[in-house]
Amino acid sequence: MPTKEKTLVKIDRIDRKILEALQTQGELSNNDLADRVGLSPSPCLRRVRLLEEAGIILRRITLLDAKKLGLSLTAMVQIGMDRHTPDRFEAFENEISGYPEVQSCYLITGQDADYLLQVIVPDMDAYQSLLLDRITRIPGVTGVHSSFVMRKIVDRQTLPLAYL
Amino acid sequence: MATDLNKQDATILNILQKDASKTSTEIADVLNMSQSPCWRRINRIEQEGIIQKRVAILDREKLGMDLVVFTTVNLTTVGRQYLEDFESAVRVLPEVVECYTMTGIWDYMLKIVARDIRHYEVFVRERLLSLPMVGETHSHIAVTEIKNTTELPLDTQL
Repeated sequence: MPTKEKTLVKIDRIDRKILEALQTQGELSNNDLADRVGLSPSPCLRRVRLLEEAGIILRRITLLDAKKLGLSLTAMVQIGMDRHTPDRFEAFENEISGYPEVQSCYLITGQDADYLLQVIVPDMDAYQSLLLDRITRIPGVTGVHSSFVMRKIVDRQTLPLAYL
Repeated sequence: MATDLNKQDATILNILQKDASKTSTEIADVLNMSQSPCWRRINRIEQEGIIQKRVAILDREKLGMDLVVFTTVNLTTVGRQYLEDFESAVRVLPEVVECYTMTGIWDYMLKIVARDIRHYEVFVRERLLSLPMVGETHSHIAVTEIKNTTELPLDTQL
C-alpha cells in the first residue's frame, strides 16, 4: 500500500463552509455556493480550485440507491489470517480491493479478526457464493465471521468538519 | 433487479457513480448513442430515485482525521423506547458516519471518524457513554484503510 503523503493545508472558516456545502450538495453551482458562504463568485471559485488542487476535495460522485438497484443485503465480515506476514497481507489486500462487492476493507485491532469488510450483494445466495467461491479461497484466510445489517440508522458520506 | 434497467443504464450509472461531473454528451459518447436519448435515460433514472444525489468526497486524512473506529454497542435494556432514543441520539452525532443494527451478539455497530485517539476517547466518554441506555461498548480501531468506496457493484447485477 502506498502511504498517502500528508500535506498540511490551512483550512479557514470559509473553506470549511465550502466543504460542508459540497459534501452534501456536490452539484451546487459556483454562484449558489458563493452565496451560501458569503463570498463573491470569483474568490469562491478560486478557493474551490485550491481545495481541489490540495487533494482535499477528492472527486464529485453520484450516490445511488442500493435498495432500488436490488442490492439489499449488507454484511460486515470479520476475517482472520493464518500467518501475519507482509506478503500474506499484501496478497489478500490486492485481491479484496478488486472485488466490486467489497465497499470497504480495514485492517483492525482486536483479538478476533485482522480485517473488517463491508460487502453489499443482492441476496443470501450471492453472499454465499462471494464468501465460499472467492473470499475463503484467498490464501491465508482462516476465520470468517459474518453479521448482517438489519437496518441502517446512519449512513452518511460526510466527515465531521466541525472539528477543523 | 428491483427496477427495470438495461446494460446501457448500468453503464450510465457506473460512469456517474465514479464521476458526477460527466455531462450527458460525454456519457453519450461512451455509449455510442446520440446526446438527447442519453439525456432522457439519465433523466428517467433520476426520476425513479435511483440517483440519490451528487456529493463531493473529501480526503479524510488530509483534513487531519486520522482515526476510524468500529464501535459495537449493547444497550442495557432492549425496549422499543430505548432503541428509538439511542437511534435519535446517534443520528445527530456528526462523528458517527455509519450506524447499523446487526444480527449477532451486538445491538449496534457504529463507524466513527475522529481526529486521534484522544478525541475518540473524549467522544466515547462524553457522547456515547453519557447516553443512559448504553451498556457495553467495544472498540476496533482501523489501523489501515485498504478500501473505502461509494461505488455499488452494478456489473454483478446485470
